[in-house]
Amino acid sequence: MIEVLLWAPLAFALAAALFPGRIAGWVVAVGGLVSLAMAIAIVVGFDPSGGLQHTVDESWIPTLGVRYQLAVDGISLFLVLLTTVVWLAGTVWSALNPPERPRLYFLMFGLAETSVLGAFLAQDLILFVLFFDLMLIPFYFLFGSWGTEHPGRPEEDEGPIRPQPATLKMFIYTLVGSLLMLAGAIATGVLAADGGSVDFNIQHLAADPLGSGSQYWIFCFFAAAFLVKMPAFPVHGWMPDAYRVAPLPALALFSGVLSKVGAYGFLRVVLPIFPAATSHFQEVILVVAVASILYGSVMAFTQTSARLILGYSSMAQLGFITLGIFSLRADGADGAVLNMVNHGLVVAPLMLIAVLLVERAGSDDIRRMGGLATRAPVLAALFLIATLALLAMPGSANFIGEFYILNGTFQSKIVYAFVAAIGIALAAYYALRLYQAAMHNRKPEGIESREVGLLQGAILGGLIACIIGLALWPGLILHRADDSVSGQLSATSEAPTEVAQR
Amino acid sequence: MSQIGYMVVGVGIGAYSEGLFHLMTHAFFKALLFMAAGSIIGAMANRQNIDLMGGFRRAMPFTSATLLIGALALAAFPLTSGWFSKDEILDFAAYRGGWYVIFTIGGYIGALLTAFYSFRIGFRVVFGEPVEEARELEQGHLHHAEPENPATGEKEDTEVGFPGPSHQIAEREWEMKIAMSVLAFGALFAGFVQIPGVDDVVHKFLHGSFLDSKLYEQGPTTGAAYRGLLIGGLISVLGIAIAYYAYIRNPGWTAELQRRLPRVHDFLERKWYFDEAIDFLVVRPTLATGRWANAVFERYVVQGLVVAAVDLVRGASAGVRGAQSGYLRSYALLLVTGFAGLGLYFLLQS
Amino acid sequence: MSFNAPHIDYAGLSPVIALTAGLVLVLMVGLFRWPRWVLPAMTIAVVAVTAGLALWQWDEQQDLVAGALRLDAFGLAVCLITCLSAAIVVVLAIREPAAEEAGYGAFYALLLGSVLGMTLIAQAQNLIAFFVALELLSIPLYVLCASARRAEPSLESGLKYLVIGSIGSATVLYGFALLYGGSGSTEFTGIAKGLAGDNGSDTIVLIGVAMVATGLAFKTSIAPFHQWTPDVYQGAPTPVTAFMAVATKAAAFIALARLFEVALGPTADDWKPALAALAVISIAVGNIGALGQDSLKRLLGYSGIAQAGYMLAGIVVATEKGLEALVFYAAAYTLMNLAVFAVVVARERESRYGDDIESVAGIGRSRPLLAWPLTIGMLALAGLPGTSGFMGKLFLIEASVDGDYTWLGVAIVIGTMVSLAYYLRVIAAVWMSPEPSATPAPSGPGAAGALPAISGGSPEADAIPKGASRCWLIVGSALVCGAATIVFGVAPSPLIDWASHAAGSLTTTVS
Repeated sequence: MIEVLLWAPLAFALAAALFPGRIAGWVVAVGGLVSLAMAIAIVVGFDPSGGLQHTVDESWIPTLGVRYQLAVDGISLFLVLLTTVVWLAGTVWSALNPPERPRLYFLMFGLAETSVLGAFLAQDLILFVLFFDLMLIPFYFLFGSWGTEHPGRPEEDEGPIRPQPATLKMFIYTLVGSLLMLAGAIATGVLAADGGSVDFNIQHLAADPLGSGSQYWIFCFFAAAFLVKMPAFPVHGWMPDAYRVAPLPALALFSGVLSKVGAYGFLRVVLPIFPAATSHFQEVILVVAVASILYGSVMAFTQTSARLILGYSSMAQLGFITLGIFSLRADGADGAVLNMVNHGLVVAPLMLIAVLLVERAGSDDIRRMGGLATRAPVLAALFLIATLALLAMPGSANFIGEFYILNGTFQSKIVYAFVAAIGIALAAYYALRLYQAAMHNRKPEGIESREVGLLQGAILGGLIACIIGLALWPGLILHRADDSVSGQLSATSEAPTEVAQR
Repeated sequence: MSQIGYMVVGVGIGAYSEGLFHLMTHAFFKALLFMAAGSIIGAMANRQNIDLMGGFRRAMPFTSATLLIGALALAAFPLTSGWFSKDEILDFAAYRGGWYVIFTIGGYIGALLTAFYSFRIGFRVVFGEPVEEARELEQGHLHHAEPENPATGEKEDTEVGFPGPSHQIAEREWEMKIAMSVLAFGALFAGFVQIPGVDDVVHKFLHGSFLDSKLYEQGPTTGAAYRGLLIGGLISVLGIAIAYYAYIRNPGWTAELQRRLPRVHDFLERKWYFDEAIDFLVVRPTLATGRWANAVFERYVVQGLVVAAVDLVRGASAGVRGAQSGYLRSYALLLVTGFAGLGLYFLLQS
Repeated sequence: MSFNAPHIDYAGLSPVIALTAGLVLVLMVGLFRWPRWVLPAMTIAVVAVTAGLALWQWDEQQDLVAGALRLDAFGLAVCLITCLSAAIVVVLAIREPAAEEAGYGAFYALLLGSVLGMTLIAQAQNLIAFFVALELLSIPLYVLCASARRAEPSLESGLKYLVIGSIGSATVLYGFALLYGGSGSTEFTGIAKGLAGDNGSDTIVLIGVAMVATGLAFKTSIAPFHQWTPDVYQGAPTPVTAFMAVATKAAAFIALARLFEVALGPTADDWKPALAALAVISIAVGNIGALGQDSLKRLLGYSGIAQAGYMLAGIVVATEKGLEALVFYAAAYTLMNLAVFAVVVARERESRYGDDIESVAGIGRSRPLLAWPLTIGMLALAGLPGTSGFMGKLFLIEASVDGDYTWLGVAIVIGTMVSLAYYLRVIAAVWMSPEPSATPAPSGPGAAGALPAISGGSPEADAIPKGASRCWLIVGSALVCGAATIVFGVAPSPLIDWASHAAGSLTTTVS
């Protein structure tokens, strides 16, 4: 079942090459649906205290010690489900309005989905790194070929931004970190083998950690990869240009899911395999996380481009998630896992709504928007729910995730929690600012307020329904993640605590 | 806002059930007051300034009555629900003694002011000379005007939906009447569930939530409670009396006071300059930080990292490519130099 | 008087014999006029037979020709790689004006001669045999580079290669002399014995090692001895460039490995750091130099310098894993590079831009069958997952860490980061640029500017023959190489096992 989940998107995307361009998107959507069905089946049949489930373990490259190993556990379970849900939404949205060269476009979608799922499911370190690097390639093509030129910010002497250079910057910047991670991963396996046979299985590597010296530099390499991916302050330099040129449906997938792989990598790989380094560098990463929260929020509420507002807000939200993970407590990490799913579910519909806003306003500049809610009550309602979830209003699952994260950080490193809490207020500001500027206030000349179409509304409605469902029942994720999260944290020096379930 | 203060004081000093009781009664009379105000505003064609209002008692009897009921309860007039709930909190503060007396005294001063301001509205709106809109309404004609944005005075765009050109008053809408009647009933009689020495419905109801509390079962004696209630009632009446004097007996008195103490008036009218303070202390620094981050930090530091790296590599590339002169002799030179380096290294090894 | 004839292992020598016979046959047959397909078909048949014979001898491990050559999988691996390269290059060279200039028979015979030299150098176990094979592989290449006689760049490249190559060969020979003096033997195993103990640190020996390293580094395009590579690669006719880029490197590296591991094994601690430094310099120079290139051949030349740096890491660590990684990477590198070169050859003839990047601009839309192999080849050269390039880099880095040269693994990774900039630039041109509409200055076959007066200069004779562009054989070979790159990126085990067997057979000699 897990194999079908993993390979269906790519298989259907390759098959789509045989169909005419008009229906290529729908073929890939069917593949996405198959994956979603598998994911739901796995979630339903999941045993919360069963550790790794649906394992696949096959010999792949014996000479190098790399095995083909997949499994799902409490942490990756809902990230996998998030991926399949968001991808299906994005694929169907694109299929409604196919771009040019559709077969290639949807091939990239399918390849990307398989890669991301592979990164979440991989249990062999090299396999994880392989999928981590692989998932960027389709986005290079998606952003570079189907991206649009952005006028930039003339008032700050910034010229127009073209897709190819922006995408190249993103690709190389991200791969700097990822390639360092590759070197680190190989070093981990070889050094751990200590002359014996090399084994890259994550559980085995975690059971027998390396010496502190090796752990420190390898940790730095892994951290480089994940921090650039999320992105975190100050290595977010690729983000503004890439977010401004990317095609919005692909950006929804990118922002919603790929940034989470970085955070997931910390939890899955770094914490168990490098416990000494994690404790040693905990404060450094906490500083980075808090800086991301504050800087991302501050930047978010000074931007005039809707894309950048969402991009910097993602930076801030990922900062919270990193904070939760590096509180090195089970409740903090639980909150982080919950918020990973939450944020993905929130930012994807927001990006798709941004498509609608841009359609109506002609550009993504919020100074040119206004009053779009007047004849679009359904759109306004959906947008509002997503916005309130983004700012973690009490009642949404994001609030619960943030509460757990701050609680965990409060218990372990109180100062960071205080500073990070400022981010909550800032989040309210930028989220509401975006909503107000777009939806409320006077309508400028030339803007037309139009209700969202039925099919697009259905896609958005589905995602918003997931947000609401999760808000009503966050235990769905928390119950299942707790055991696995505690397992990941057990190696670090902080003792895990009992998580109070509501 | 000020009633919330009473609730928080209540909960803070351990008067849990009293604080929550005040929450309950406050819901009744405050909601009633809002609805009555909405009805008046409807009659005023969406204008909210009480300086323009007056004398609605004949034109809108029901609204006036409910407005006054709400005002009485807010002022904690004896036997209204507000009287019981507010003064029970102040009783508890007095019971706790010591420094808590500050709350009692402060609470009573607040009660005086509350009574005054609640009847400021009550007297100005209901009594006095009927204004033009009231007179029109007595004739049976509801005043219409272009809907305006109350904050800016701009004309509203009524094509969009809300606010529409129509506006409702309680006298004409039976739905409003029912709602306000229910609330008026509560505002008047809800206090009787927690009469000291007679019954304590709220206290018993909340008992289960406060099992671990040391303070929950404590409280003033019935005698002390009635003493407090008496004082509270007197203060309430005093406040209403002052309001009566200021607005009915001697209408220009407050205007005179305003002329005599202009700076005090400004301070109070500008909400103790809180908005300006927040703007100065919070909003401006944050926005300035944002602008700085955008213009300076992002451009020079973050992108600077990228630009520096790219420039470094480009520079090196120019160097490498520049060395390709095309002339064999320079290639041979480099070859010999390289060999010399290798040879030197090996020589040092041996 | 009884005469003991030396034992000639014909079976063991069969690949060599086949090549030699084939070379002579092609040369002779080429004297007459034949339809265009005959000589290429013959050449491909010759290399196919050679490859078959090599496979037949795959499991043997013995000395040939009184110890001058070693028959083992390590050397035969080179034979197989070079035969495959030669076959594809022959396909690329059909209708190549240079081949026509040189006379088809001579062109293909020279190619076979070079293949012969490569086969021999990989099997050489004796300094003399090594040098003879080195010259045998180099000299035909000098001529082949200059074979487009009417194109100035081609003549320039051939001359440059000749002069610099001679310097390199001379250096190697002098180094060999010093090695012989220091160790008392010309046999590799004999040298190893002679250098055991303190002898290995003798000044003369070390200078000899330095000279040998210099000369062979020149051959394999290791910086700082790399400067001939961009010029020669750009000037030579593209099929010849392709051949040089893949086959020469593979052969030279395997020969270098054999020389250093077997003959100079005892002095390993002396030359390991030096070679490691050379590897890092190559990685840096190659990647950085490629960044601003507009000419695809020049870009691939610089990229070859960087890739040589990566492969040198496999030798530096001097472990079996390192050699396995080297052989695997050489094979994978051959496939990915040939895919790219095939597309370059095809586009060179179709478009008016020669080998400029503009010639591949926009082919994602117009020529997808060429665009995909080029993209796959570039992604593989960059070492991105899903391709055999990733597996190769994985192998090399693992071998580096395993051999206590973790920093070399990190250097490979950093080099890869830089290389992304230029590999992706090509991919971006293919998929994200529109087709160039402006007509550039008219260019002849692979040349730029006017033809030199001394060579005649007849435009009619120089015109590209009609129908040269859409040769399905070229497209087919590009697709095959591209597909193989992906296949070995997903299921590398067969190739890894093959490489392990090859490397394993060498280390049995060493130990």
